[in-house]
Amino acid sequence: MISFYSLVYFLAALTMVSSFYLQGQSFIRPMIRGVAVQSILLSSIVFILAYLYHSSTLVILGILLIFLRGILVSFQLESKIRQRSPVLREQSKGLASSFLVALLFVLLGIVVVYFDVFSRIVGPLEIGSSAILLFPFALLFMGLFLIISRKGTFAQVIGYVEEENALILMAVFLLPVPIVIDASVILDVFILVVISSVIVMEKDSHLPMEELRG
Amino acid sequence: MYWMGLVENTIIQLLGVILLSPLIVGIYASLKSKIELKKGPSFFQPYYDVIKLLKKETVVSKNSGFVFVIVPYVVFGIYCLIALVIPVIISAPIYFTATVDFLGGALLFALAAFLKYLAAMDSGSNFTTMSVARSVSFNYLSEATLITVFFSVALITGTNNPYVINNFIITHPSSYLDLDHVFAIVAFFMLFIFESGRIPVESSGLMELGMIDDGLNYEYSGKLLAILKWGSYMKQFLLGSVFLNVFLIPWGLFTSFPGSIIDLGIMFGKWLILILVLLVIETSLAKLRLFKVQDYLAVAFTFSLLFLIFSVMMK
Amino acid sequence: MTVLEFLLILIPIAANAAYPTRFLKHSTILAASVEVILSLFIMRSPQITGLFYVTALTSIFIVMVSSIYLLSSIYASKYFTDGMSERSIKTYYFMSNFFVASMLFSLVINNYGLMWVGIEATTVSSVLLIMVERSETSVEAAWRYLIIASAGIGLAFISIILIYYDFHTLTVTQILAMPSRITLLSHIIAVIALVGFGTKVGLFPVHTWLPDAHSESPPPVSALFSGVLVPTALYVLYMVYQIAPTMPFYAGFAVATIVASSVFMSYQYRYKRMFAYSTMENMSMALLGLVLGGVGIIGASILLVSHTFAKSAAFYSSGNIFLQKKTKIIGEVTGIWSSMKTTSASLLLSSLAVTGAPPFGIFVGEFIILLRLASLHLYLIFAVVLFFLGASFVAVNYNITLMLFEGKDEGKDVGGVLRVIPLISAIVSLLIGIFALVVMNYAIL
Repeated sequence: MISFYSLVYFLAALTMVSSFYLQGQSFIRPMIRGVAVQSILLSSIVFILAYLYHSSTLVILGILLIFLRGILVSFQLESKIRQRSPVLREQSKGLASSFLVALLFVLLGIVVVYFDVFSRIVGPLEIGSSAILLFPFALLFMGLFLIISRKGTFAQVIGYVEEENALILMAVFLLPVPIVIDASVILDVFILVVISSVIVMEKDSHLPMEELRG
Repeated sequence: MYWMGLVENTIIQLLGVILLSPLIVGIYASLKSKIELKKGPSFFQPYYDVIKLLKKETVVSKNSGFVFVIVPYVVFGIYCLIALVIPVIISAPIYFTATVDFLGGALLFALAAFLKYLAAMDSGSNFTTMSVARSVSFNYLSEATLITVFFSVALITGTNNPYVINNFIITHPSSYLDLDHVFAIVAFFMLFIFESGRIPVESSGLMELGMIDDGLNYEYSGKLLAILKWGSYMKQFLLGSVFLNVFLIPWGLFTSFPGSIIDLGIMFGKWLILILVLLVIETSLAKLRLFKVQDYLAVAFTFSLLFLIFSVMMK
Repeated sequence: MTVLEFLLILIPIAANAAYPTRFLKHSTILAASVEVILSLFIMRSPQITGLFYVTALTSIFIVMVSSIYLLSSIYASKYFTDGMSERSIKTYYFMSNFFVASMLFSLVINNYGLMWVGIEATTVSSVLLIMVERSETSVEAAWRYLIIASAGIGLAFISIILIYYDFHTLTVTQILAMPSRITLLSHIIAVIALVGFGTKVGLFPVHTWLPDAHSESPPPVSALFSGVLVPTALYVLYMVYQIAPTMPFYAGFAVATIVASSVFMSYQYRYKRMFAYSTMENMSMALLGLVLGGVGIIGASILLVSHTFAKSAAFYSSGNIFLQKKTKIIGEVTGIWSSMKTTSASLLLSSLAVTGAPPFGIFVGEFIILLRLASLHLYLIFAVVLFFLGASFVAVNYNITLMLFEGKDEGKDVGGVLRVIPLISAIVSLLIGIFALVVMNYAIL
């Protein structure tokens, strides 16, 4: 019998897989869909935990995640693509190397942050061993790496959304923070994505500039 | 009586691998043609090929040395040895099992590949040398994947013995859906597709530009080619059987002697399932560009490494 | 009286009601003036209530925010005239009102989680301010600011999660009242917050957005950023620091930033960028003062208030020069002392002020912080800080004197208000310094 806990582990691992998908994808539209899928995976984790903890605030959080992250963010981003067809694809510098570097980055992050620090300060969680926190940490570093490794505006926004997904995941695993905070976090991120879509209209890739050196 | 069963099991497994492996390839090729609405070769075509090649004259280039000549035999021998040490057909230990463990098996595969490179370079031909370069530039990822998968399997079960692993999953069916196991299946399957030269990676046929592994055999002819071909059938069969018996479908094998003949049939059935899966993949995907093969392997490696991390973490 | 704080947050937002009309400019200036008066009221009676947490230190920050809000609004009303669309100007006022409201919100709120939300909201509301002129570099700077600052603030959220995990509450007053709050976990909270909020404060390895955003945004926005946004982030960082004073880390980052910014400053050839690095230096000096505690906190407050006015003056005067000369490169501006007397005077005063020349407030603040360092027997840090402060003093003032006195220049100064605002701002900074010196004299005597 598969328990709900192992289902949570499995879904968390799938979010990891989706983050690798985002890292490897150079077309923008599938990336947007990918991050929407990731948000929906995240919200299903939240729903399962809501069922397990009998928490109604987590249900609200899950609904917010689906609506704001899963649906509105991707609609907002996709509507910007339609107006700008040249940004549909980003030049990739080779997936193999970026994957390996991402793995290295994630591994280092996990080793330093989790084993050196977190495993000492966080006791067993309601959901089981605190090792499950590795997923949000890996996701966090994947998001940061996506921001670092890409030049396109869309990809960087998506990396940022991924990072915020990781934070929500960490919060629900560790101890869900009050819903007011969570809701404002989600709302803030949504507005930020809307604002960044203004920038997408102006500038779709980011290379070093002479005026901004040093 | 224990010894009797052991010896017979050993013989059945060895002969099973040597004799069944061309059949699997033949069935695969035939079914593939049928899906493409062609008439297709007979199921037994690989046997005919091997027999035909055995009858033909062997030509060895003046420039090549002794390595070129002896390597096909050595490689064939190595695959036979592997057939004796991993649970290919029979899930109980047999005569040579104690020789090496899973890691040893992986190293034997690597040794065979290495010898084939040496031989291909020894032939002195530009084309085969280019194939070596190609093959090596992909193999650094595939070998890493193979070894990582075996490491993590060892971490799950606490041993590197493939028979114990096979047994572990049979006795702990719930661990079949564990994260690490799922990731291992994905990684190993991707590796299997690469190693057997199937479509997303390599299209079998005479397209020289896309050749990775077939290019290594280009200078061979006659008997030597027959043995090499047979060896590569066995390699496919071995990898596929490990995939089936250790990862995908570990159930359903008998361990005692009279049952082990039935095992051949069961194994055949499992292979048919795998062939169907492969056919679906082969007919629905396009071949990757040559430089994308690395990306493909990087994905497999990523999965296997993640699998390693998770199996360490979740203990 | 919670009403005052409520009004403080709501008035800037209320000013946006005039968005559809053409009086948005006027309503903003009106709101800003009311804010200044309100903030002076709050300063008279700082308090702690359930919802808000306002100490004497907070009220100083509130005064800083509202004064720069007023100065920037007035300055902007004259600065954004030619070549800007009506819509961009309206965007400026609209977003700056939200920006100020979110800063005030994060200052007064009594909840770490909502402080985080407020800081994130400052990012959201200020991105469009940087790129209000829509030049390519400003869009790029806005983008870097958005992605770097929000990624960093994202990391800070980890510390918020951990605070909640540790204390099961996020209320500042409750947590700071806990006697046994200092554990390994709370130290880690403080360190993660240092990296996270430190991005917004502009601490050394994660500062990269700061010079871009400061140098490419229009002067009223640069003044808001340097004068109050960065100090607000510093305030929030300090609030988290109070949970578990992890002095070695904080002081180490502060000193590293002083060293790095001083080195960066020495080879800048764009004057706004130079002032941006000077902001980093002043902020890390203030951070050093805050973490050293004791009299250092007083030094830091004097430094911060004085810096707010001085640095705003520096950015306003830079804006005036840019309006006339259309260049941001130091070498291309020569001898403006002969043509732009008032602007030159305010630029000179403010550059002396931000580098810590004697009668100005920043000098007093830095002096007190250095005294505190010496009294804690941290002589090595003392020497390093003193050396690099001196180095940046030379670098900035050398460049400014080149701009002012080298050669002759034909041309005119900018219009009345644009000239007066930076001068007022610089003189306020001077007065703060003199006032502080006088008070210190009495205190010592």
